[in-house]
Amino acid sequence: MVEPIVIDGIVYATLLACMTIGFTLILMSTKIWNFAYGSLATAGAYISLTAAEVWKLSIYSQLLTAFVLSGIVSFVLYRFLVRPLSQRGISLDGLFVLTFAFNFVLLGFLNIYADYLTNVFKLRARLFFLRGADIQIFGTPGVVIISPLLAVSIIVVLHLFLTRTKFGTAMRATIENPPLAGSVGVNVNLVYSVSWFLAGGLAGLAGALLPLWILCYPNIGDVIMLSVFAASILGGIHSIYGAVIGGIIAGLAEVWGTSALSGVFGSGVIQYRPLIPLIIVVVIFLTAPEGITGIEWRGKLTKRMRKV
Amino acid sequence: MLKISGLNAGYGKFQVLFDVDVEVKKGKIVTIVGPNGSGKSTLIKSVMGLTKVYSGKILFKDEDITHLPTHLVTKRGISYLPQTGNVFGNLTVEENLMLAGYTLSKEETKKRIEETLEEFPLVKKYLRKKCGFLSGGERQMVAMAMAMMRKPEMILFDEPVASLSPKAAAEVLKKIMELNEKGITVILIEQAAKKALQLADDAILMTSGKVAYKGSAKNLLAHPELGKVYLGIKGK
Repeated sequence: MVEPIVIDGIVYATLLACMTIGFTLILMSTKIWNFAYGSLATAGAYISLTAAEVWKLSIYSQLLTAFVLSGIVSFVLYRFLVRPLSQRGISLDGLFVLTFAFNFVLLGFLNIYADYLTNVFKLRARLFFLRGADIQIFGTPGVVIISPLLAVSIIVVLHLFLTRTKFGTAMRATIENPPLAGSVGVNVNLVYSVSWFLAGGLAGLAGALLPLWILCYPNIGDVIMLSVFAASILGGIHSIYGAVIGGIIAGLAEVWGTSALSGVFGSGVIQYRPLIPLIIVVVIFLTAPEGITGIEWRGKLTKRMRKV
Repeated sequence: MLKISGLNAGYGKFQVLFDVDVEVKKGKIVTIVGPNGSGKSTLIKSVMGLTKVYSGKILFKDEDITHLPTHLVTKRGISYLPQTGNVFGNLTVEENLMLAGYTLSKEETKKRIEETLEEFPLVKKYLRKKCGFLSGGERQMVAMAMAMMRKPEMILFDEPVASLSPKAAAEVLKKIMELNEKGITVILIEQAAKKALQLADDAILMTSGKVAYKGSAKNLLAHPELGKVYLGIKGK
């Protein structure tokens, strides 16, 4: 029998990896730290609540809805705010502030929607948990099997998309050198738009599965953003594959670290769980600012072997 | 073929070009020379839609391309080879060539790659290598092959031989001449002014974002004052 804490870690880490992939994609393509990203995941969580409690449908049947809706909101942020302002010469710092402000708008909508669900449908929408709405696969909650499968599928599909398709190659080229990509005929703005849509979609997808395992509320995205930042920095902010590794390590460290510390210091430690991603960020900045994928492992291993 | 009139352009609020008028005739090699910071690169970047144009017009074959995004300028038949970062270092040579045919169909891209490799046989040798691992001369050849993939009518070169060995530089310049002989109009920015002017039909001398001279390259080379003051050419 697998320990519940192991399952907890795997579900959280794989969902965090999905979110980190999208966050890192935006960072790589447009160099923007999108502070509104967490709320896109929360939007996904509310799609699940609506699907399960209002439409009486399986949450899994509405994953695509969550992907598309969050993707559209992310695209709107890029197309109608980020792009026009960056064309007017606003600095990257200004764009960070813009995403921060947009996050407040999203939070406003999410709170209004939560109140709407509470008042009209008499649901517990300000603090909800949908574990009871999950399906069972071989006696195991569906999310335990589906979230790792989803993470692996996303990685495989994204890898094939980036390496085997013309548009994927154009995306890699645009990430590396946007002016040159434009001068070989790539529509750079279209690439950016697709990146923002995909990234938002991934947040929505991961967010839709969150209430199946953890307690959700309108601000849950902001709390998870700390972990997403940490995971992205840990993986090295210039690599999709690094984002996956960072997401899994940061997610497992957060869940298992909190569990281990509460075993030693008591359950009071649990409320300090968000400190773990912050500690990860500090340690990474001090020891390997380029992240895991920025380390020259081959050189390090060779040096170590020589010493031995 | 290319007519620029009253062009004021720069980056954000920083204006670099002031009231620039330039005309480039079909089939010519035009060299743009001038001291560092005189606006040479900004001028060709403006043609490619990579700067902010405040006022003025850029016409290519009588079509206004002033505010077109870069990928649409490319579609009109202009290729651009930037001074640095003229290939995608993280992609293989083959992927770079395929990307150069981005606007073409799959079959057409394959056909053009074969044609281009016949023209640039050296590139064949390192087709599977990532461009980041190539030498400066090899990268420049790949960049030129990429430019040719689109069968352009005009190629804009920004210091193509800067930091190349003399042998590699000679090869690149020879290739540029060959391309011009095939009817492609060439605009060439070069710091080694004397050498570049010797290749060119026409010349543009830029200083402080303005055109100080335009006309025959031979006349500029022979000019007793302009060459000496701005280009360090000590006469014939």
